[in-house]
Amino acid sequence: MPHKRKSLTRRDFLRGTLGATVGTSLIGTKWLRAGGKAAGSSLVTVVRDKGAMDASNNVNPEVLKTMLDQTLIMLTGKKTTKDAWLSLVKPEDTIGLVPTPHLNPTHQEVVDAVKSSLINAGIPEDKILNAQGGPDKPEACTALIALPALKAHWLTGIGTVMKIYILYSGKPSNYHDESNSKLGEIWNLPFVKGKTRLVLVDALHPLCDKGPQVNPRYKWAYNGLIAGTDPVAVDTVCLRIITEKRKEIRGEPWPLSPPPLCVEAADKVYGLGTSNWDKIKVELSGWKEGLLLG
Amino acid sequence: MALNRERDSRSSNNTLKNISTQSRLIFVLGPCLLFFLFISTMPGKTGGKMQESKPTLPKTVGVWTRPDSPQLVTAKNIFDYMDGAGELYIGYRLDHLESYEYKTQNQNNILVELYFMKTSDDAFGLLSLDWEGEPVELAGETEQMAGEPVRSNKSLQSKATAESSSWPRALYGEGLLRLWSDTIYARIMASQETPESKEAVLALGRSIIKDCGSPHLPKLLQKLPDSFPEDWVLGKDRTSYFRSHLVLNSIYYLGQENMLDLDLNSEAVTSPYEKKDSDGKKRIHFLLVKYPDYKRARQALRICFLSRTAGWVIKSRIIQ
Repeated sequence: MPHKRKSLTRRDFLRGTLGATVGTSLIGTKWLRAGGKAAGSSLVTVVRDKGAMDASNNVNPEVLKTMLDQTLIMLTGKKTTKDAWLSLVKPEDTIGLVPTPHLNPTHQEVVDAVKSSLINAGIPEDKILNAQGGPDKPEACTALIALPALKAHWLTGIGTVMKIYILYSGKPSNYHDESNSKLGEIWNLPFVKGKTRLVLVDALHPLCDKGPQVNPRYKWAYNGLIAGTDPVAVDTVCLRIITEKRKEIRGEPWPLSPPPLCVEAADKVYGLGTSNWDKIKVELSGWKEGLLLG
Repeated sequence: MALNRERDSRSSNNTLKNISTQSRLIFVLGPCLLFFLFISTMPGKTGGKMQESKPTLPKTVGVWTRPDSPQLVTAKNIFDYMDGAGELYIGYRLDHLESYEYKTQNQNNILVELYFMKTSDDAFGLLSLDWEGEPVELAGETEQMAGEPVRSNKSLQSKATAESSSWPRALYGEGLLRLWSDTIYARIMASQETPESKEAVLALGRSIIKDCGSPHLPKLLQKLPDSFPEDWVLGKDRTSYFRSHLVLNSIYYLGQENMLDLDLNSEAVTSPYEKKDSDGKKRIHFLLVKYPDYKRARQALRICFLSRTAGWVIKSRIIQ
């Protein structure tokens, strides 16, 4: 098993030389830097309500609806939810909702709330599809709304935004372990590129350990929705929350393994957004306790 | 065996700024990787294979009832059952998985997963990936009826051999019981923890271990000294046993490649050693790998050298 190609190590990750290393290893990759991103800061909203779940972690749909409305208005600057949606999607779009299907899946209440809100904004119900699955799913859509759940993942470090389209690749195992750094290339596939209009993370009941199966010790009630139109910025905020929660649990830094290479690589290699904290504008609303964004 | 000395208390991956800061620290401290490739002269004799015991799960526990037969999962269909999580069990020596869902009205279900591994070492390895939780002593011989409180007239640990008695064999936390018994690794999880569900989960745990033996710890684990060097103390609660590169990287990310040429014929243990009185700020990560023969060890050493990056110092030792 000779190892001629450039090897990505823990050291590369720790030194912040990931972009150069992954970029070198992917020279010639068809979809590299196909996305591009305008300069400027990326807005990420974090809306939380202590009443979003009860003591048994059942979701309160009414509270959730209010949180969603607030998210949309904060994110778009529009005055109504309808106007907010119509600034993100067109009435003639076929809209695919893409929830996390396994291991701390997206709450069905979140999916239902988004669908209901879209319908109220005038989007025909038959134009709203569940687009989680194989490559045929995004091909059938003109717009995608990513609805990942906030979680760590044992094969990709973090398993939230950048991983949400992994099944679109048709070969999810190609993106496990060290290859999680390549997850960004899926976003630049021709039938995916440019279709994502909103990333809305279900951070109601996140999972901060990698699994691979859920251990309830590592789930907690964050009661939040995290949103943005820059997927990398949203994942960067998610990563900080997961990282801070792990630190809180252990009382010392508890790094994710494998390291979540995909977030930085999505920025530096695939040009999908920014992972630079200084270029991310986080707007907060609601419950402040345990925010984990210090 | 790898030693990676770093200040873990400062190692964080939350922002690029922090990453950059810590990388400088590591550079200043001088990363030190020492590889000792430990070779077995008895290939095929590792792994603690035991006579398989098949636990009999009660049909009913408390208000919960299981179906007559389990869902049977093998390496061929494990990804249908648990998506990418199946890689973990493939990374050990999975024989098959039996899954039961105990159901009831008005309360959440209890999922029982019995992972039948090919060796007891593999079952231990799965438990060793996370030592968090409350160590639980499960009664080993009494019939436990549904809803009864925990009894420990004969503990699982008391059946264990002396050298392994200090390692928990069952851990409970927030609705999830994880245990190692014979060649079985079990996960029993109530999706909603209540006093009743906790009693039921523990009762199911007792029924699983009732007819099973208490095997020795993996021999490789016994090679780890309690202190090394003398003022560096074994971090028992973060000691893990494994075979695969994927699992290693989930515990401690070493690198992109399978640098140690790990596979199901090799076995490894890793553990941090913490310097006394350093308040956790000085820590060494220790990795001991055992290969089936000398040739494999030499090959692994060669790959390791080829895979290393600038700045790494590798010291190797092959032990026969």
